[in-house]
Amino acid sequence: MKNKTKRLESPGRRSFLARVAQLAAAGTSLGVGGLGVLGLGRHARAEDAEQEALARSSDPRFLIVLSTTGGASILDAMLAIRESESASAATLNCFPDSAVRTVGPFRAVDIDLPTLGAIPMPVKGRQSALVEAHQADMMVATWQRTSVNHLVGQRRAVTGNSAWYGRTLQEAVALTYGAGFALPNVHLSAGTGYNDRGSDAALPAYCYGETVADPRLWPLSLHGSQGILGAPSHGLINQARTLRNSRLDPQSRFGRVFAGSSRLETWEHLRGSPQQALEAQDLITKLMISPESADFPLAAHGLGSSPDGALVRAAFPEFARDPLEAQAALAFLLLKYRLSVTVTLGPSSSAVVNAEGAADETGGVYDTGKDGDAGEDDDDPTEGGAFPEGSIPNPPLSFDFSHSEHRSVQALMWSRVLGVADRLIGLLKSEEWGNGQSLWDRTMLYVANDFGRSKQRPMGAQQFGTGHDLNDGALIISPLANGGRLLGGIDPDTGITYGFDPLTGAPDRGRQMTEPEIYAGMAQTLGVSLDGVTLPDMRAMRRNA
Amino acid sequence: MHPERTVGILIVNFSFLAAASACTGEPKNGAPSDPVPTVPIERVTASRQARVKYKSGARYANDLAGALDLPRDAVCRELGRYDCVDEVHRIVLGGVEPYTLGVREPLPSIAVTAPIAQDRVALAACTERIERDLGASAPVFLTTVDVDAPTPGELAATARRFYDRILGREATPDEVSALAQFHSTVTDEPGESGAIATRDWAILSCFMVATTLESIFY
Repeated sequence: MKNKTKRLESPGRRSFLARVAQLAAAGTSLGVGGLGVLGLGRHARAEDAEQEALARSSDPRFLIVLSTTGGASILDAMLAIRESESASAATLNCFPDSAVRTVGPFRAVDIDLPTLGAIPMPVKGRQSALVEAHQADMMVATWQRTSVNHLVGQRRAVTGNSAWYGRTLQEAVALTYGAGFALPNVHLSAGTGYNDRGSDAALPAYCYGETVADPRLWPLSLHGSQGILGAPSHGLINQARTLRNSRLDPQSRFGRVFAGSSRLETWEHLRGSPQQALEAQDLITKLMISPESADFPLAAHGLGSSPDGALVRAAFPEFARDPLEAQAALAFLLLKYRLSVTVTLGPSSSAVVNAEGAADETGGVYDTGKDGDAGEDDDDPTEGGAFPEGSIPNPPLSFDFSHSEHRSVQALMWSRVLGVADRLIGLLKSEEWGNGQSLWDRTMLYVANDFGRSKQRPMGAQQFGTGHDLNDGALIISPLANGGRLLGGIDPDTGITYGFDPLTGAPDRGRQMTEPEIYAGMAQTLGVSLDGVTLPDMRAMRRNA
Repeated sequence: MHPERTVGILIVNFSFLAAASACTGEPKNGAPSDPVPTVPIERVTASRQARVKYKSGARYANDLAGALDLPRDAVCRELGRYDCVDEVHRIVLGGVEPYTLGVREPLPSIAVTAPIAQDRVALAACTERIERDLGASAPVFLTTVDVDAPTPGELAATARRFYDRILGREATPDEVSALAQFHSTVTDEPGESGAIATRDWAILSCFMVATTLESIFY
């Protein structure tokens, strides 16, 4: 894959401005909610704010929030501790020395485990190659979280515990750069605190997240008639819409009695220029990651797969079975086609079972009975057989299956999340932004975590369960961040992380970083102006500070 | 009390108030006045607390199935396989899916793609209904119309049926006029004449009524 990565210099500004102007003329996203002025300075005229917002859209930064739903343990990844380093090795969650590799300032765990807790499936945790590949862009910033409730912790991971009027980091990025984008803030996962709407209700409507329940089917909601067999021409449909919008609704008794309804106003607005703009871009095709198949009879319905379908399917070949891979594939397309400035994805709490893969590896369906009967291997788990490695890519509860068995779940899930990040970064590096820059040069990938996990284990145990813990570390991967740095550190005897100086990044054993501080650091790294709130300058988190 | 019934009672009350009110219900936002209504618009009093609820996809599809006399699973299936409301557009259309997705409450605000999804559901259902009408011995909407050369009266009668079945009320003269006149808009398009034009007109008339605010909100 050709790597077009280059540090930020100057964007393809002219061409992008022209596109933004085109989008604005079509009312693409300005029309979604109109531009408020909160957080954009104190403009006497809204038009000034609109112009500023559009100008920022021409030079955007992108944010990918990749969640470790359920609660990841940084001690099982970049801050892993070797048994030989700890005075309390027998009761601390630390690893045999041979399992831990040092990669720059980070650690990486490569470990083979016989089962996934009670699930008879071998697990191979492999982190070192991924950490080596991205260590120059990787930054770990330690922090102390404020809740061990999943939904609350998830929400605070993206709001910094209401650091900036309760705006999520995604909303802040959409506010800063999203005015010229059709769908600035897209949530490809759903139902977690990472997908919550922030508590600042005064933002322009386009800043709030658009939910995608199923990345494979969602493109069908981007055109009102394409793919509906027997429907009249789109031109006639648009004329019918015009008659409905301009005459039938405004003159109906219902429309006049409830004319003051903000809900109706929103609906009327969305079915106007935003709808037209989405349909005009043929997104039903561009974002269709599935190929022609019996499950997706696209051609029979006048549809087709994305021109980039083969590219994303090659990167995420399990997209049809694994929702996280489908999310990642669509995330790339949303960024590539300049539709979004922030995307949120992550594993869900539902188990993903690759039954077909398991059947392939075992040569067919599971055989019941004991080994040796009928001359075939016994692979019935209820009779002591095992699932093939990889047949359960996501355990139930995701990272939180660590309550049952910590080490193998963390190994499996860290490899899963880092693997998706690696492939997504690879695609973004291959996509040119302009003037030799890649999309990745403008992107931050934030591995957002619910909270940390408890640090202890029963004496000498290799299999053990863990609970939730406030002490944590945030993983950020970005050319914009102060990469190749561990900000703060970890006490090898307790597994508790400590903080750092916000300006210099010097470790400070007497300090723990707060959620607002880390939020501020990420926002500042992304060029978000934190107007109206006093947050520290987290210069240590920025590469070009 | 059933929400839709509540609206009905409110409207009756507003009609009563309208008799003593000088307020007029003008089209808002400077909506185009062309074509000119054939009759004066009835006066109504606008609600001071205009609270309406979005009819979720599940309720909408059930209502549409009843109005169009379609089996529920024939209302809309994306790619001929996936139910539009139960599967594809479930969350966008205000539904929940707690078991797999963890979405326990409807989205806090209307999704940008919701009007498009709503259009797809209505358009698919109306297309299916009119196709069935054209081949049925007992059609639902195209009961008395000469599909090859419909008269204005036949178009008007059909328009009234759309309002009657989908919104459960009589169409106003202006609504009837608007839909009937739309037939000539259809026939102005290249390739649109005779039975084809009548078919497309009927689909789009059904679509327009089924996607009015009155049909989607209550």
